[in-house]
Amino acid sequence: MKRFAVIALPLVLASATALAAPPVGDPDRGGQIHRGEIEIEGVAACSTCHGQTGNDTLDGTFPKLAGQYPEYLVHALQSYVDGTRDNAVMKPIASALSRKDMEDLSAFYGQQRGDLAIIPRDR
Amino acid sequence: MRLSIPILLATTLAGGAASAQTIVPNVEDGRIKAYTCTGCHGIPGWRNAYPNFRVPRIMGQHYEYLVQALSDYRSGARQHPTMRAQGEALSDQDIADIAAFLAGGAPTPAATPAPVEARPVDDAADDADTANPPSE
Repeated sequence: MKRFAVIALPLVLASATALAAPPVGDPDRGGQIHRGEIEIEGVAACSTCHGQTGNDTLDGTFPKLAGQYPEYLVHALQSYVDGTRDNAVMKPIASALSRKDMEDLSAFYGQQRGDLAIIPRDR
Repeated sequence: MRLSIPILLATTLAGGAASAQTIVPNVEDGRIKAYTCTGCHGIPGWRNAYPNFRVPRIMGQHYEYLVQALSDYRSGARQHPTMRAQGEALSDQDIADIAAFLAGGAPTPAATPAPVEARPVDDAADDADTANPPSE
């Protein structure tokens, strides 16, 4: 039990820190980038491949983004930039985005309705 | 649609050989193999630490994308310690099964990225004059 407490305490503290993270990003501006209404050099309209709402993608190789957690999407975009995620198509696009662009886009996708869900317990 | 019958046939025939190249996704097997995934991806709002983000929703994602993601974790092209550890243990069949389960069904054979097993030259020659020779 002592050992459990030693492990559990940092986890509890980590969770508390996590919950303190405020939502960021302007979904309206993100939608404009997504649709190509705000032009960013080196960035095609995201909707071209990821679909009008981020759910109806061009084909199965392009991930659905609608309803995805925004901070995960920011992490994904950042990973393309720093190379921890290797993707020839997304690297130049993500590299052309500012941190605010990433946050706004991610806020937009997070608000869209789509197929994505957590894995149900009663699988 | 005209392509699908030869591909189906080739896939079925090759299935008997159970070669490493021919992967037929099985949703039910994927349901069982995905049990481990629920430890993080099945808990609402479950968080990754350092960096801090909620682990992605992956149920309902595309089959092809999921196969790519798991394969990239396995190869190291996509870096994430936990997912690397999970991915390392997965076979091509495991990846196909899990992806098919998460995607809500196995894709049609024509959409399966796993290559159909190459057929002997003699068989291929027989098909040379048909309208729809088997393709990948």
